[in-house]
Amino acid sequence: MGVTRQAQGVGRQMWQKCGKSKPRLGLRSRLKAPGGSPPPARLNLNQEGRVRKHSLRREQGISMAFFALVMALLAVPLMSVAVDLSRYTWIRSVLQRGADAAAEAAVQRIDIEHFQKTGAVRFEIDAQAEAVRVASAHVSPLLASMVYPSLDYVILDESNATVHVGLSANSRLLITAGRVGTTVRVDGIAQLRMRQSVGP
Amino acid sequence: MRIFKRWLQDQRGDMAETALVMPVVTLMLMLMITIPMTSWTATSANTIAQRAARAASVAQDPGLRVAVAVQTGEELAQQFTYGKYTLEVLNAGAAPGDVVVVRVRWEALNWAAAAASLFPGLFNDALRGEAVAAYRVEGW
Repeated sequence: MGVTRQAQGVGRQMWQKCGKSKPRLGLRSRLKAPGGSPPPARLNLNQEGRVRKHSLRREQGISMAFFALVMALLAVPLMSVAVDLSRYTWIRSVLQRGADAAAEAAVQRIDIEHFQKTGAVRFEIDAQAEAVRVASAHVSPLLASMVYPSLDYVILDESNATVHVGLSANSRLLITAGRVGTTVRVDGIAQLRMRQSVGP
Repeated sequence: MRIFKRWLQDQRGDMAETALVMPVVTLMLMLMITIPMTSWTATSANTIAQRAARAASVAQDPGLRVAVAVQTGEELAQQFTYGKYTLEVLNAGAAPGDVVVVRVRWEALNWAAAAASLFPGLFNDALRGEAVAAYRVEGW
């Protein structure tokens, strides 16, 4: 405000010295004081000899600065979140299907003869290996995207005829420029339902 | 209208600034559309591969497993109208205990390709990927 009042004061004094009632617009070169010195070049005066307000807050170059600010604070983080969320969802989807398929494959490795004789569920010794085989085939596309999954556990629950398979993978976050990652963990469950048929 | 005229007649460099800023803004907007749609396509391909492999793994006739996988995958792919999907049976599994492996290659439209062509080195091709599903052939 101080600057504006000071500028207005300078403008009034100048017009009074010139002896003109109505100044012409935009002709700074004609607005000479009696002494011959031109008015300050920065002053942009209106019809009443007042400094135009918008000249004091020039907008030139503002959009570039504003754009840079928006890009840095809003657009780039939002883009990073969009990429990270999409990637997280995709990795989780692949891992979940892999865990389900692995659990399903492992639960089929039941000792049939033992079940036929006793009616109890007992898994074959290679049930875990079966889960590993199917899971590794399932999650192979992740390797091409630099995501390295790992098999956390294969739990063979014979009392409930259930197999739990846990898979996890570490996904690097773009929003942290790849320095920090998040771990995606999934659990696949498969349950075997069998019954002994009575022979003829 | 007055604002637009003023913008057109402007001599302070706003048009030059806009010319610099607009390609980047356009690219960002297009990427915001492209990335989720690509993710959706990848997830759809994953679903197609999984269903096809699962259907083939429970087919009792080994000779029909490929046909079952392809038919299941194609029926499902028709429901996903966005993106192109190509199904391929890598391993049909000859006997129970084998693993049926189905691969689905997907291709999604790159909405940012036009804007990305202004920036050399950025991707401006269609977006591609693949999904693989493996299931143990059921039976003993």
